[in-house]
Amino acid sequence: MISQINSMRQSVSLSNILWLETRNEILKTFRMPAFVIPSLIFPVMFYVFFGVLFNQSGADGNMSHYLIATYGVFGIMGPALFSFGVGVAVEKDQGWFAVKRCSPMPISAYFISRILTSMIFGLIIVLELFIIGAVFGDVVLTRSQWILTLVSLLLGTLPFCVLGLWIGLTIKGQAAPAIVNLIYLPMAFLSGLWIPLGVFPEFMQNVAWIFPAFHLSQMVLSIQGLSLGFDLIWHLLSLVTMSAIAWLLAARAFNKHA
Amino acid sequence: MSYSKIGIALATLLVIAIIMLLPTPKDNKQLNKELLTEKSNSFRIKDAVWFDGINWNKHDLVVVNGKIVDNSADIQDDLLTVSYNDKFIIPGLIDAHTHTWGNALKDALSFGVTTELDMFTQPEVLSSVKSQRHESVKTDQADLFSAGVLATSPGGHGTEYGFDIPTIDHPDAAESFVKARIAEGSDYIKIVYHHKTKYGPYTSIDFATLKALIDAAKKYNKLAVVHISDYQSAKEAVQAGADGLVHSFGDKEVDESLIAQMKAKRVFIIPTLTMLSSLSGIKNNSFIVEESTLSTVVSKSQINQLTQTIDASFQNNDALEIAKENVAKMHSAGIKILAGTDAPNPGAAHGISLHQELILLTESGLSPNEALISATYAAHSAFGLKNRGHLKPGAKADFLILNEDPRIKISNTQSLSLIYKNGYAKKLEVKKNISTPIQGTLAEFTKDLSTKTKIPLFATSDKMAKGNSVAKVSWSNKGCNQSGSAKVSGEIKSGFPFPWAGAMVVFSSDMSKTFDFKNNTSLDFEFGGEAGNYRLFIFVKGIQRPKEIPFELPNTSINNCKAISINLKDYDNIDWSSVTGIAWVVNPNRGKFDFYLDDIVLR
Repeated sequence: MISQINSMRQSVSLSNILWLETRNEILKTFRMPAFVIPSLIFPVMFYVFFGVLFNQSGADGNMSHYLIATYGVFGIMGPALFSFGVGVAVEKDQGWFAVKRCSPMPISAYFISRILTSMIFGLIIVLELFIIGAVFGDVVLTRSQWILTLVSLLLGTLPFCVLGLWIGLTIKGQAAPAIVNLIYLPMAFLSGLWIPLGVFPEFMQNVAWIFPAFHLSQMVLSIQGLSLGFDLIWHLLSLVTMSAIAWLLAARAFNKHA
Repeated sequence: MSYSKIGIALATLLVIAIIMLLPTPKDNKQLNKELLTEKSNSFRIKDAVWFDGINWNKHDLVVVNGKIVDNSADIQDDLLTVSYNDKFIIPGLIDAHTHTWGNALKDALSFGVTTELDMFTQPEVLSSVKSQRHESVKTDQADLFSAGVLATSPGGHGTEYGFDIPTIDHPDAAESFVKARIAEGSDYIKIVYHHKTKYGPYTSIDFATLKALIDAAKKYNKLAVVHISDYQSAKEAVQAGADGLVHSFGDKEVDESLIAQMKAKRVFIIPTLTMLSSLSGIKNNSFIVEESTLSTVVSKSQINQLTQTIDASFQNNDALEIAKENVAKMHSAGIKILAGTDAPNPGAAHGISLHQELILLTESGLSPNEALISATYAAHSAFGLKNRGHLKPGAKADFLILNEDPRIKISNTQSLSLIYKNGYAKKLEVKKNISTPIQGTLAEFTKDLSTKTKIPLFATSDKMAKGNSVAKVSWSNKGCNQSGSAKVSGEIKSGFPFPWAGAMVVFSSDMSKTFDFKNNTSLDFEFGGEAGNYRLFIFVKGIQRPKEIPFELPNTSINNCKAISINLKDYDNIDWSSVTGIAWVVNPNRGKFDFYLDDIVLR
């Protein structure tokens, strides 16, 4: 009896709610091959093509290093934008989002579980890139560079979660995949994630400043000393500002649904 | 729930394992320390085997503020320590015979030559860099000691380079001549001497003047070194009291009496066997060890420089062999041998060629270790270089880190891994030899003299080398095919060994840019003028004298140009991969001339 009460008590604790919500979110996500396969395979496939097979001599022989950082950004962007941008939009249209809001569960658990799921996907993608880069691309970094790259990429999912959330709350589920792709792919290209920004004309290099992916990639590249050389604080400030704006827009959209 | 926990724990472990297995730079701390020695010139080197100019050592090599200090001084415990396990350290090399201008000192250092002893340059060059040798700052240049202007007779060797130098033709002028050189900053006096006062195209000072010059140098405490090219001149130079001979000779075997005199008077010799090799028609580029680190530093233009030879029909065929035997005999008699190259004369380039001279010296009976001494301690003691040429306390921290032991094979000096100059590490600069391919029309001259290279066609003649020929280029609205062409006129006059006059296209104004013609099959152009023989000059990077391609113009009228096509494949002695310019010139015997040039196309 006492143990039953204990287990009941445990089952209503906030952490347990979060745990269950996250576990179910992960299970749900992994049961969607249409999400899992592109997320886990595309960044690595591109990296193999551009970073390992073709461009060994580009970027002063640092191509495989450079691209591990930028495809890392590309990799973590995907799950974050799609989980929030598409996932939330679809569940909103299905009414599932409203159910979650009405349930006694704090709605933050819904978001946090999605964030954690995105990060776990990001983690898998980044580790894949690390292994392929190390084995086939001769990428050698100090231990602290490896860890710092991983941690900053995982933290870097946050701005894209917020951006995705705003999109997800704003648009219709049916339109969501197309719209997210329209943002995701051009932003990746124009931020220099696929090809180093240095080969772009100056005008396009300037345009890159409007994308959060550019700022994150510059921060990650600076770990290896391969960034364009601007002070990190500008990139950090830009990311924080962009996230804050997205957050405000998302909050407005959220309240509209209330 | 507990399964999930185990799952999470396993996943976490997996992530950690992956991160721990990722490759990190080998001996990361060591790498960072080597990089630190690029920024600091105070450090302690451990674990290396190093040569101080006399002995090989194993104890720590300690450098403070760019100078070697006694390693027992235990006050230096907080020094940055770098380990060069399995590496070999030798003092920075000294090239005891060079001629310095342009990038010479930079090139020298990039191959591990940290000091050059120049044997003739313009005093302005010397005064601009002389002070650097006293400094301990980070630099990308070798240090320079120099004779400044050499002492030669009017019309003697040294006067043929197209700039005016003071000359001497009488013993009475010797003292004031030497004083003038010292005032210009000369570190020692270099004298050109031949036992005949007229030989080949040159004249020479006579014996009395030679003796007076040497005596004057001694009076002012300067070394007197003498350029000789044969046995008799060497003998007389030694008799006159020369401190050193700056070449060897290959016309005759050295005899006991000359050896005895050189020994008694402690005369040293800088045989410059590299030059004798070039004079023998040997291309001096085969000594470079293919897989060596040095081979990655040498540029295309330096290779071209090495492959040049000097036309020396006056010289006997076995001159190099005899010179080597002479070196062997002098060396075994205990005469001091110094390594010197005579760069940048054809066949020798600054820095790289000293590695060849060392090989040639070992082929002349020096052991690898003795060859090292010839480029370090021997130069130190012969020229009184105080703090260089060795690594004893007080010396400049100029030294080289080698991957392989130079005592086993002297060509292991080419396994250069790092250069220290004034105590600062300098990485090897790997050269990428870039040449741009070119295809299509080079110039049409439809409305002016402009060409695709952005530099218009211009006149060229031997006047720029103090010859007397003249040339002028103008645009003409008639001429070939009625649509405009370049008109070149002028006159060939004697007064230069190989006279020329004509018009020229270059790919960059300083002729530093090269173009790659390797993928082209022919060079075509329209040409009109008086029937007869003409020449194309092809300028190739690193080679001073252009390669010549003759072509013949049959009888045509000026308004009816002939299409000439040069098949590039017919001239495989030309390095088509690094062309810097093309010139169209008339033959030396032509006199006054006019010709039209049009529609230059590379196919």
